[in-house]
Amino acid sequence: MTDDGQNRISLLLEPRVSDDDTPISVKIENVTFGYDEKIILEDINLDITEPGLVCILGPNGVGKTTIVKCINKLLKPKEGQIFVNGKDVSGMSLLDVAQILAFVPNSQPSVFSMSVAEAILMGRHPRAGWTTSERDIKIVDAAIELLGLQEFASRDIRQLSAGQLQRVLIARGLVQEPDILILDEPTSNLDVKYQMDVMRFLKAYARDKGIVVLMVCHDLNITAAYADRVVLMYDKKVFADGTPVEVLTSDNIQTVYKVDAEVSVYDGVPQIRLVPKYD
Amino acid sequence: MSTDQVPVKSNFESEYRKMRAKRLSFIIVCAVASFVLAIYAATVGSYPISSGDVFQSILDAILGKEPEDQSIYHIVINLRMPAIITSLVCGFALAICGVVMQSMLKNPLADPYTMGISSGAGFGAALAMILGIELIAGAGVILNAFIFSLVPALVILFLSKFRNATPTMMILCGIALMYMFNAATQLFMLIADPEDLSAVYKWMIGSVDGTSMGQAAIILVVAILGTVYVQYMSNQLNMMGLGDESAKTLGVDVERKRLIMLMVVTLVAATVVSFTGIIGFIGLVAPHMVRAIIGTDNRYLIPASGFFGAFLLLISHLVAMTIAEPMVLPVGVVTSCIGGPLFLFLILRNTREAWA
Repeated sequence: MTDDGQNRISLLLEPRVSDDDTPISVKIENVTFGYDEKIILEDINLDITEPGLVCILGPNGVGKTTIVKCINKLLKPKEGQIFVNGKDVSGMSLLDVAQILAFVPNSQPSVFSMSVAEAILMGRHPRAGWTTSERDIKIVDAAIELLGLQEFASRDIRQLSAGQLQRVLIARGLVQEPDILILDEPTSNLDVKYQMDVMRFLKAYARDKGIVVLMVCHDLNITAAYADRVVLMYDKKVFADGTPVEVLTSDNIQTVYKVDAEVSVYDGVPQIRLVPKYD
Repeated sequence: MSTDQVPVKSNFESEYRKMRAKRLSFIIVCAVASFVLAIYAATVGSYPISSGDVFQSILDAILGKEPEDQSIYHIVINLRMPAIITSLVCGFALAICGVVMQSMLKNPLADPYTMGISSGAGFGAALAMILGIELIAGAGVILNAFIFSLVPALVILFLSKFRNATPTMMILCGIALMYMFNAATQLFMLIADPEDLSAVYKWMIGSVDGTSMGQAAIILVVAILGTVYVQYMSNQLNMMGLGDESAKTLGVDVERKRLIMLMVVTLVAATVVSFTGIIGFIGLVAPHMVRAIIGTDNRYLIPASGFFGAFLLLISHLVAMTIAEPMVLPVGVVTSCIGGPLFLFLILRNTREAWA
């Protein structure tokens, strides 16, 4: 690799520098969310102060995505408050939020053609505004290289497979240079190799940059292998919160998912074998 | 995916430079071509005038000098220029309205037609021409058309108080009003006497011949103000193309900005339509054609479509004047006749671009 390439990549990998020395934090206080009568989240409390990879697990419909959407102001809680870097999000503009938080959606519709690189460049908007600087473009190049998207950087975003699109959306999140990167099931359309690659990358990225990566997950074993912290949700509430070993026990899995599981710990990583049932 | 493997170099940096150069040159080419065509258009007519004389007359008019040849000056400045300038300004404005509507509603079919603006204007004009009902006495067709063409946007604004105005809702609302206005207009036309009928009919097709220099100036001012605003908003418009959720997480207050932009482009389109009648095709097709050439970045797409639309409408005006001499066709007929096949050709030829 050329020096130039290495320098560019380091643009994205340099540890986070905050303007005013605010420590990174996400604090959810007594948050309740629902539509009309239907309550989806009830009295949720969560406090994240350490950089690292935090995974939210739980059965379908438990409100995992709803929580992260409350954090980035896509949804408004009925009750309770959410603080990001110590600031109440309800008092922040969407642009203020976007300068701290990046959100990587699960998928994204697109009507008009747009190249992959241009789509990633959009992630610079909260920082760059109307203009596009040399640095913005270099950061996009860095993200393309980091996520191995060179092959289809100039392709129309509508022609990508779901898995390719997910990596593009992750790249868009990275160029936003967030303090807190939120991902909604970023590996759901990826094959096993890319799932592992993405998780390994995000874990290292959170550690090296010193930022919080908060993601909604599905796969128990992959979460167990990479997460620094696991938040397990059940019945509208946070059911368990801690390291993978603490949270992913066979009892917890039985209660939350209603399946039998055998958990054994190797090298500090819980390995979960779901016990199949046959009629 | 990780830093330990040596990746192939990404070359977006040079690609972006090339793209920007291409986009800027397209804008410049369209602007220059429109200007040159405007000079040429002033030489065309039953009394031939050389381009040098045209140039001289324009210079005289700008500098306020006493012209050497009064009759040439009169033909160029008073007879030919109003229609030429109206063509340029209206083409520019309609194309920009089309770009903004398509981008913010994420719908390739959005334009002043489908948003109900044109039908509202048509209804207002018919009201004045056939029933003699003028909303503001003495102001006649133009103000009637203007006021009614704002109705769809106002209805959307009203509905948005009760629930989120999604792009789909906006388009459906526009289409619903379009049908209602059209039905009412047709009803008027059934009871109209032949003379009024012919006038309404001509108005519906749209033409740039009837406008005065003063009216062209009004359209110009509105178009400039509208353009400045949408150009300022162009990058946020780009975000909207990613879907509302993504746009919000990139810091764009989508719902509010979309309503404001809808109001702005409605005002611009309404101004154009109320002076010229319903000129089809430019607002819908010019943005698509330009998108196929320079891509979807609205920061470049907006001015590029504007100049391209100006060129298209002026060339249509030229064709309308010359193709059936001495009869002058309404320019709306020509834009649709040229536009339809051209659009089809583009769709068939270009498989990888802009059409969803």
